[in-house]
Amino acid sequence: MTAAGTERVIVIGVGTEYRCDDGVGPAVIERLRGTVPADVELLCSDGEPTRLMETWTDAAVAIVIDAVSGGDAAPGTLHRVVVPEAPAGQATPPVPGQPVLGQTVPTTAPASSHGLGLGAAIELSRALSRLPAQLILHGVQGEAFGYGQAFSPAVETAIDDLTARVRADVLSVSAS
Amino acid sequence: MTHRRERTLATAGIARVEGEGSLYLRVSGDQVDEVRLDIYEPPRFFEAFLRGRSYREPPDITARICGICPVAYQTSAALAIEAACGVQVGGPLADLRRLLYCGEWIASHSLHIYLLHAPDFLGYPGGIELARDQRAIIERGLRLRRAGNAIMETIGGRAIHPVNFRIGGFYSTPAKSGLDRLADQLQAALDDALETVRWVAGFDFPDLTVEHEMLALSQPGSYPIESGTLVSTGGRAFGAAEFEQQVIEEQVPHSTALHARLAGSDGTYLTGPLARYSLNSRWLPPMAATAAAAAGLGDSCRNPFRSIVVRAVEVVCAIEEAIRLIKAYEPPSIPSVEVVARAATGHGVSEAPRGVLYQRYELDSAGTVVSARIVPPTSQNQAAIERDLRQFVQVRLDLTDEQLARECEQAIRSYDPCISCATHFLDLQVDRT
Repeated sequence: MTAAGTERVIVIGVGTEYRCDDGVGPAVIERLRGTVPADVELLCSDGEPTRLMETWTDAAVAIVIDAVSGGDAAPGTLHRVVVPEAPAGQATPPVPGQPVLGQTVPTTAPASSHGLGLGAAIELSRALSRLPAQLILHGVQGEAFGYGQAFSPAVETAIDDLTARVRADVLSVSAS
Repeated sequence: MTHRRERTLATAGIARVEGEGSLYLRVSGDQVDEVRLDIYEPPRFFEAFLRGRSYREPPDITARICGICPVAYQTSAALAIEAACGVQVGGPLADLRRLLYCGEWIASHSLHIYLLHAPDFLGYPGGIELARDQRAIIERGLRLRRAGNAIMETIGGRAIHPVNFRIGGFYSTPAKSGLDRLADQLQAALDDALETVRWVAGFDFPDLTVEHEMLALSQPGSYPIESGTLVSTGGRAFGAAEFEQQVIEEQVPHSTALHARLAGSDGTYLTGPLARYSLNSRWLPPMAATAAAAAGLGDSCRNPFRSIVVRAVEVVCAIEEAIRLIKAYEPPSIPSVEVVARAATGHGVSEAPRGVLYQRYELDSAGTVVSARIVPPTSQNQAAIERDLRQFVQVRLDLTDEQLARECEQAIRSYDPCISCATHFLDLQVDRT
């Protein structure tokens, strides 16, 4: 498979550059520029689920990078999850409390439209049969999510490895 | 002797960043003693971040505060800075700003109606479960949201953090043909919007009537969106420059956020769809007005749960307005007017989807931002939401903690509070003694 023609390969950095470690997704996107095939789409997103869904609908491969909060992993720990697609016509209920890159699949609606995120985007896409053929999530465990532009030392150290792992996935799917 | 117990009852939502946001109730016997909602972190970081920047930068920087309502932040910032510089952007450039803002209203309201609020009335835990069961309904909501995003992409350059917006106008303005294509999409969206009003009007709404003074913009002759002067149900009328004399922000012990009240009043006030509608329903465009009447809204609406109907009517309004603006559109001769910096202070206010959004900028003669102030709608509404929750909880004390938690979440959802972006978690804690 290549990224040419209708076989879209898209890499999405989710996060907010003014919330410290939350900005890691967009930062990896910047580092990828010029180092992956030109027809691979590189985008940043605030994680709003309908936009994420619209972005990856019809993509052959979507690779998403986000910061992870919660869970027991040490700051800087890298995660990689391949999201399985539900069999056609079957809705897979979210498993309450099951983390998707550290974000708990919602069991009740959040209090605000600002509270929806990557987990909701995946489940909404699954419900509407709009998951990309292959969806790979890359995360790094963060620890600083307050206002600011500086990464925590652990995330700062991990960015190069994270970028290399994402690039390896991009090159692998582009070449196959 | 009473037995004091403290429990964390429920958590809701997903957290991009955990730990922000909580609802605390203290109940003595059959009396609610305290309601504390701590959900909003005001944009103080951005106020500090803006100091020392060029007067041309705030629209781009403030757009980053919120992924749901970037145009609101851009617009209020531009109005304030242009006012400081003695410039008023009018004519077709102001119309384009209104059109861009219509896109944000459509996109923001559609998201809230379909994925957040409607599931509460239909017995679903959330929008995802509703999507599984009633796909056609969610697809209608997504089409509406796409129509709003299409406006933002066409005028603003992209839907999130529009890049084409600048002090004085835009970097470039669209060709008429580009907008004509948009009009076709909006015409189809209008049917979806009208169907949405009919749909939500049939929901069963819990009883709750709020008595707050309501504050909104007014633009006599049209429904207020991108500009106007402030009016209230208590008879106040003032311009953006008087905002900080009329709206008093105070520190309260339990919250990092300042609580707002109107000067000369001990009461809280409400801004947002209910206030906007109650103060401006007579200025709705024809189809929105007809839809509101058919939905049984009347001239005003004081039940926060019925805000879903008001939002649906405002989506019709925004689409109608967008179509009207596109039909009348002639590309302006220049994409922006010149704005020369001077040492002055300016104030700007506009109607974000969630209500009045005020900004103030003090500039020096070189155009450097000396100070900035940002007062978003949710920080204004926080005290009102707490007061309403107290009233709401008082008549529901016989519910189990779990039921109470769920109903409080629904009540809070009806205000669609702007939880400082990228966060969110609602923790409910009840102390009963």
